[in-house]
Amino acid sequence: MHDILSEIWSTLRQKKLRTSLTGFAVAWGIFMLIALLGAGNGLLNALLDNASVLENSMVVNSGWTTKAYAGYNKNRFFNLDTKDVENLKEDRFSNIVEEVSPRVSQSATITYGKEYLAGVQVHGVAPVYQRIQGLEILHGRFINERDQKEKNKVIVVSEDDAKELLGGNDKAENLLGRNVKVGGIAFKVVGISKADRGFYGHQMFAPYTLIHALYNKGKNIGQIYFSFKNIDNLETSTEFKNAYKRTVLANHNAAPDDLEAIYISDRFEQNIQMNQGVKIMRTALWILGLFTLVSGIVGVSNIMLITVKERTHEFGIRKAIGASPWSILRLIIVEAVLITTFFGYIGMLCGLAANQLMDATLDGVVTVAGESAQIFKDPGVGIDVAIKATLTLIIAGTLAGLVPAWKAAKVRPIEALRAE
Amino acid sequence: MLIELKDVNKTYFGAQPLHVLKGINLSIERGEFVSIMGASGSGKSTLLNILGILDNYDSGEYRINGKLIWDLTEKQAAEYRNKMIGFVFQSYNLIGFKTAVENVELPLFYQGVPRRKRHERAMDYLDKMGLKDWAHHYPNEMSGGQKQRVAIARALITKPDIILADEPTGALDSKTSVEIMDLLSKLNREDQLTIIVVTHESVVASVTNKIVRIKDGVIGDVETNPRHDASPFGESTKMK
Repeated sequence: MHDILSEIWSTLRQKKLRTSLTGFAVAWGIFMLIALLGAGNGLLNALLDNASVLENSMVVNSGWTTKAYAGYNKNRFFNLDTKDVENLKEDRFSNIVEEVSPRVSQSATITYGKEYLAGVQVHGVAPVYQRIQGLEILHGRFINERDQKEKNKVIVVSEDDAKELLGGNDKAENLLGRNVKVGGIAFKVVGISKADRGFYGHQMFAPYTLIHALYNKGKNIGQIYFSFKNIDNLETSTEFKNAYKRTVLANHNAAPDDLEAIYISDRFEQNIQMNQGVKIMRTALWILGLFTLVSGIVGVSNIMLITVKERTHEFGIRKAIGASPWSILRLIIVEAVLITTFFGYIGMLCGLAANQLMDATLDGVVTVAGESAQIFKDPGVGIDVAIKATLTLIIAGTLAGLVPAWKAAKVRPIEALRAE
Repeated sequence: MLIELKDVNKTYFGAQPLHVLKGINLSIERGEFVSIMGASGSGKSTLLNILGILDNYDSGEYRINGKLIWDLTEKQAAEYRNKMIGFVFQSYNLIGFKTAVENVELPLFYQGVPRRKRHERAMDYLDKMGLKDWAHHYPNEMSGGQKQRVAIARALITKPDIILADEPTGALDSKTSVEIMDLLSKLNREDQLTIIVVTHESVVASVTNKIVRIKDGVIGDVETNPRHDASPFGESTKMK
């Protein structure tokens, strides 16, 4: 083996430019594949991470009528109310609807000592809201049934907001058990939630019954969140939504066929759409990556063809003095394997480094007009994917070298000796 | 008998079939120093290729040391060339990116001789050629005569049965030509090597002990030349 390696080394050293160009084609192919997949994974991770909400859940929003009805003009706003919530709990929906959380929101200024946060949305919610929204509690707990029943003045604050209230230099959990003032009223902090970077602005959570009573909301409700069961296709989902919409429309004197008036955000449906989108994106990424890989392979194959042509005379000499076809074949194959392995490895390392760099430099939070959203998270590919891609290239590079190598091995010594 | 050709025929099938060798009969004994002379197109190159197992023949028999050279696979042919034949070419045919000693080592590489051993032997042969100091020079740093001596060292290193030299002095000036021919002559005399030189120059042929003339694909006359005074124009024109 040592002999073959030194043979190859001496020829590669002869053709520095050609070797480095081939190497570049190979390294570039692998690099692009890994960098591309890594960046794509960053986008997908952010997308999937933002979508941590419960798949079997829906959100009902207050609406605007699109049709005139019963003496009312169209484009009339109506608020959801407690009756809509009660309807959802009725027997006719009981095989679908599981748990319900109304949400009422109040904008308030939160103060803690000298620090304060203005324009915070304090959402009054039920315990199930945490599960529906996939809210992660880092310390303490979420609102519970007892808070709800006793209208306890408790609040759940996000990690980021807790830090801000503590003046920015303290750990978020130190706010746990302390009292913060919500518009002048003291609330006890019972939980620290993970900051929701998919949400714009500040939000905190308190018992629904408390907010409702404290701020004189009457019967009005902002949104209704609920989890459901027994829906496994879009038809059942639409059928249920339309049935419920008609109930709500009747409650608010809106036209029974004005289904557009109410928007129900159906996470089940969204999830199906998103999964399709993710699938398409992944496939597109792989196709693009494979094309770059193919260009690397074509590069190797091309260079091997030229190499063989250039060295025909040399192979003739070798054959005349006793080289078997196999030894010539082996020489070229090993050369192709070495080039692709070495430069493929370099390309793989560069690709992985590029992913690290993306991870380190891009925080992935984009801020537009004061609102920020996470659009990029944990870019990179698994080391297994990187190694598999590199191995694919090496194998393909070998196969690409095989055809020219075969030609070289077949060349007749007299013809080769004639070639100059 | 080291080399025996019996009624060897060779035709090239092109647009116009060309019958190049028309029944060649030739015997060469071990230790002979023979030249094959002929004009271009006489078939001498084809004969050389067949002798060197670089090309095959259509009919007849060719034996080296009693072994029939017929219907060989590429691998067998390579092995026979490696073990039995040493080539010296007009254009040296050294590998440009290898040093003199690496070029000389190469046939042993294909025999699987360990690196150190083949390097030692290559150095010995270069020393014998008076090129020890040039061992680590590349061919393009050497003169034609030096290159041809490297090529001869490469041909000798496997201790072959036959040395085949194809116009070995064709690219050299007359002084160097004489040196190379003297070297071949000395190798024949002192080491009892069988050497076959293909040439069209009678000056070169006159150094050898036996001159085989080939014309239009058949052997003309075979002239023994023990005193190395063959006339440039052949036996028939010699003064009686």
